[in-house]
Amino acid sequence: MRRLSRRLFLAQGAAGASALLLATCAGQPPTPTPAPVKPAAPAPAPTATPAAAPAAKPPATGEVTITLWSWFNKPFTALMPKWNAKNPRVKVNLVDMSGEIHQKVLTALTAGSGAPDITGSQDYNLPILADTGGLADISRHIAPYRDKIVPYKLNNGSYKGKVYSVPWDGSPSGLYHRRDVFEQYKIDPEKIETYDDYVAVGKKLKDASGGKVKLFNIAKEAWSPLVNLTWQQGGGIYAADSGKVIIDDDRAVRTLTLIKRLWDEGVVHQNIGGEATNATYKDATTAAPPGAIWLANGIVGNAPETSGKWGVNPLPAFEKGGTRTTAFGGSQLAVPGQGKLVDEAFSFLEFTQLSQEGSTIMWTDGNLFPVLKDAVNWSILNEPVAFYGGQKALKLYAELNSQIPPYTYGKGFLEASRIVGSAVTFALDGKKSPKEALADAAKEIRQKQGLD
Amino acid sequence: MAGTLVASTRQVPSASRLWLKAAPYLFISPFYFLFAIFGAFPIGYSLWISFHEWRGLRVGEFVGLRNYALLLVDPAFARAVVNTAAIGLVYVPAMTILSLTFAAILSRELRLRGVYRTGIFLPVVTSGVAVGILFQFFFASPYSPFNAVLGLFGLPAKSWIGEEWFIKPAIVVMLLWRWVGSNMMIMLAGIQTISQELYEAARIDGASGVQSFFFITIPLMARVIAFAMILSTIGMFNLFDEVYLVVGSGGGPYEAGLVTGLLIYRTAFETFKFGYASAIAYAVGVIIIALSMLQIFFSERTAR
Repeated sequence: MRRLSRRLFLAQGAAGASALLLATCAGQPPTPTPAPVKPAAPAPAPTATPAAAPAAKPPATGEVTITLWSWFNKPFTALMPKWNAKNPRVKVNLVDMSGEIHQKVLTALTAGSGAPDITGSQDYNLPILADTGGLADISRHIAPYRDKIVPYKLNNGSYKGKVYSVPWDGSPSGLYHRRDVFEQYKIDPEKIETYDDYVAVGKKLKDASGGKVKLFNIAKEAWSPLVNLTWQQGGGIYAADSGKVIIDDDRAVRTLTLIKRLWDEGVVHQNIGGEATNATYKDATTAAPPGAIWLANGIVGNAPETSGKWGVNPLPAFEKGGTRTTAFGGSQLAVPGQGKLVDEAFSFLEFTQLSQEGSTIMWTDGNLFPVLKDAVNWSILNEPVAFYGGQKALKLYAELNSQIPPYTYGKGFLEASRIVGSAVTFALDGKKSPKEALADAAKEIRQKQGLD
Repeated sequence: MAGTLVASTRQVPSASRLWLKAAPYLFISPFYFLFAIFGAFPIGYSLWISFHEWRGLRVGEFVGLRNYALLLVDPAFARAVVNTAAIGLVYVPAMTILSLTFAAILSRELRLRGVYRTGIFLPVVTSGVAVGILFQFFFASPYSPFNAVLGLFGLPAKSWIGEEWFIKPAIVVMLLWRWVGSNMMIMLAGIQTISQELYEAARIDGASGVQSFFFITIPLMARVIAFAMILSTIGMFNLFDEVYLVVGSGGGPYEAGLVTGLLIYRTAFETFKFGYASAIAYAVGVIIIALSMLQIFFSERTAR
């Protein structure tokens, strides 16, 4: 047998290397392997971290560092000097997680390790995180603040009766309107008290502008604003107390009927998409969108030249004297219990979200609205705001913040919201009546999630 | 001579002989090592998961074939398979014809042949996510070129993604644009194996270009065409990125765009039913194998 010649060795090496390269070459269109689902980290059964009893642990001495994950660390960076002056013992490591924060946190919580001491979480994801058992129960820590936090935010941070996060980013909502458009067509925003008034305004705008100016955009296959305006009436997909599916009750039907009415009367943009909606802010064809306080950020981002031309009022009510606000979006700062630095984590959150000093910086540096009831008295929120043409809009938002009825997202929100979105499409297309569409949606949610 | 051979074998040390035998396997082992972890293990593990209930984010109790029984009566699964099949029934023939036509044209000596081939191939190397976002804008935004062209014919500018009947044709068009380059390459490779003498002989006998295409090119390309069709079929059932970005996990109005890949994704990552999702994935795998075997059978018959 021939000895391995150098040439042969090199040839074999080159062949092997190029085969490896080809094999790892991704992006081969339709791969011939069937697509089994890659499971999330094959984790051994993690020991569920029990809620850390706050008082039992002896206070740690010396410096500690807590880690905070969020997609928006800018305001935390701004207040770090104040925090370090106040509490030099607890250092905070800010990690920017603009990407898939929810998946990462969820994986870490299930695996039992790798979670930070504080994590940002959208309101709608909090039940999912809490359900893993990996978040720390901070009910005792937050007890002194129960009456100071606006009710709906406190509720969104709770799951099955226990509190797992400190609220962040209040989202009181009102009815925006374009001052210039309303003046042009002689509409008085103060007179829009009920949704009947709102539809009438829409018709007036449509007729006077030859069909150009509409109220706002309604999307198909979307759970919003159906669910949000149902919250306005105290309803929702799930009941706040029992967790039962209630999306087929009278309140939801009333909301969907209203949405369908707006659609059929032609007073709203019909499913034009986010991109086009932004364009309507520029050309003034969206005259009166309902929205949270952070809608202003979006408008400023897409149509900065319209700043100063907007005003905001409480939402119309479903019946005279009813609630005139609701929430759109919002987030929490949850406390996973893995690092056992729960006390320290809470003290940081206490400063940033539950004190006037911290909340003020959250607002000035991050446009994150305070979650404290008392904010309505703060001078910083009592000033004219240029975007709203000098209106003292922040005071209005602070007042509305306390009026939002608590609602429940629920653990099954992702799936349920999709089913509800389909119901909206059925109703808007006229294939089912609002009542039927919601009845079917509720039935499907109950069946798929094993609820009643 | 034999004596010399025996003598030289005895002279080669055994360590070197072992190395000679082992060397090829060692060279290919990195690939198989990675494949074992990231390829074979998930395939096997997810089969195992499909026989279990999924609790929270961990494997739960053993339920045998219950997940498979469930999917036989699940309307969402039926809808996903029907949708995918419907799209495939249009897409696969259209893609085959289109890519074969392009390949036939571009196999000749044209002046800017390289430019055309590159241009047609560019969409293939684009990210699926980018393609999805692009087409979402193209079909949904009233300001897109698509709506601008429609406006010339007096049609309203609106989000066509909201129309149920539009979704499947839109997906077919998007996929044709995306993958025609890669299928064209496959066809080109096949065409180039056909000997030019056959075409010359046909020309001498008076055959036109079209006739030689149908009587020489296609029969000799039968296996290559089948290969491309099988790849397209498999791709159909694995489809996810582009569709997800155009219609979202809901599948669009009345779930018109709900393809099997989308269903697996949302069952796993929205409802956290990994056991059931694994069962769906395996069922889809069985469908793909069945369809592939059918296509091979028919192509073998044509090749003869």
